[in-house]
Amino acid sequence: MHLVQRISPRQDEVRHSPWSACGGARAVLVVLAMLLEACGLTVQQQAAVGQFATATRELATTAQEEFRQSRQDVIEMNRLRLELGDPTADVSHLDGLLTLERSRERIVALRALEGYADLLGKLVGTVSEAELLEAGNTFVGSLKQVKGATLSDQEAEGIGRAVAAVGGLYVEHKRADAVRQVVESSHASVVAVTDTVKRDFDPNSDFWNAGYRQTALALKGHAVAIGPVVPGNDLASQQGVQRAKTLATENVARSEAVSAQVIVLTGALADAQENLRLMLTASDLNVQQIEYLSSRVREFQTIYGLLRSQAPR
Amino acid sequence: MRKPRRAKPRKPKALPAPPRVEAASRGEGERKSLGQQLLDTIEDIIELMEHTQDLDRLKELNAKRVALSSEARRLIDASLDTSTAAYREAVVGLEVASASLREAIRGLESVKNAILMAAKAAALVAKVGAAA
Repeated sequence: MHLVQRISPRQDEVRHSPWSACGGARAVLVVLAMLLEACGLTVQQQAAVGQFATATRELATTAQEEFRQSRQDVIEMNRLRLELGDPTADVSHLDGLLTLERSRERIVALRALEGYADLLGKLVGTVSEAELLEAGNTFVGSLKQVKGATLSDQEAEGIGRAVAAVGGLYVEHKRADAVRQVVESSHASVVAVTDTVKRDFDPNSDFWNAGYRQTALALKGHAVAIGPVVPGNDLASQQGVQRAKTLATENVARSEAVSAQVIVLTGALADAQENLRLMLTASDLNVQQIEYLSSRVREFQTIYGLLRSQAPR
Repeated sequence: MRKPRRAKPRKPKALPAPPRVEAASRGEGERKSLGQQLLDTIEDIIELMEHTQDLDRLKELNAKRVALSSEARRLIDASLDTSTAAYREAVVGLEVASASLREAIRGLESVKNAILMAAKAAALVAKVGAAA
């Protein structure tokens, strides 16, 4: 009784206070916010996703550049074959086996990878709602064009919905949901793209790399074949022969160096993608593979810049 | 142009699996695809051409190079069934031709025989190419 008497006035104060309803709502909001934050990505997870996105974007853009540059190399080598009078060189197919259609397929696949990285980067960054929605649409659109990609309409819709749900609000749990949805739904397609790139640069497979080597050998072979029959006083032809041999050797050596790097990086990217998936679903945070990918991509950017005589970005 | 070939590696004694990084080097030890093996043989022909003084032999070697290069164009980026007997025979035929060409480069075998082996390999590859 004594207790009741002592407590009652306070209860009365609370009951009649103009702030009571608001205070209750505040408390509920604070608890809710805490719960929602708990479902969101941790600072470390956000950093890892950002790091993964940056590395993936850089790798995708550099690989696109290499596809373009290597096609240009083939055109240049075939032009030189024509100049040296190679009867097997075809002026109407200067790009040899690295045709426009084959190049397009590869660029489209890598653009989708770039779009994936861009969307993830934006989901953990601070961008406007419009930018985020655009990144989501661009990614889904480009992934649907990729040959061999396995994104179903349902998965595409799921990504779109998750990204739209984030909107401009940046509620942490919505953001986390969207990141998880994007990573999970895109996983098979991302792995398919990395496998294709890896296969193209594999020195043991018959794809892009083999097409490049075939042209380089055709140029060198023709130069070696005509070398002994070039008259000693025809300095221009002799110079052409020497230039052809040097260009073929240089191009193959560079292609081997770039291919070796790309193979390592695509393997690292596949591992990091798997790591990212696990990291986003498990409480255990292990970002080793992502950090490895990130450092290797930075290293590759420098090496690639040197091999292609570009300033590192 | 090609890196010097290593001697055939001995089977390692229960070593731990190499990290992924190591697997990136050019695939010695692994069986190459038909197209890449074909390119290896073309490379060996070119090397032998560089060592050949006889212009007639040079012409013959170049003709084989051109024929194999044309086959390579058909095989690269094509969907081939690697499990067929014809495919395996072509790969082995090219390996034998390459070995013969390298022996000829070292002066241990006649250029004529190396050309013959290259011609046999070209016929085997043409069979696969025709089915592609």
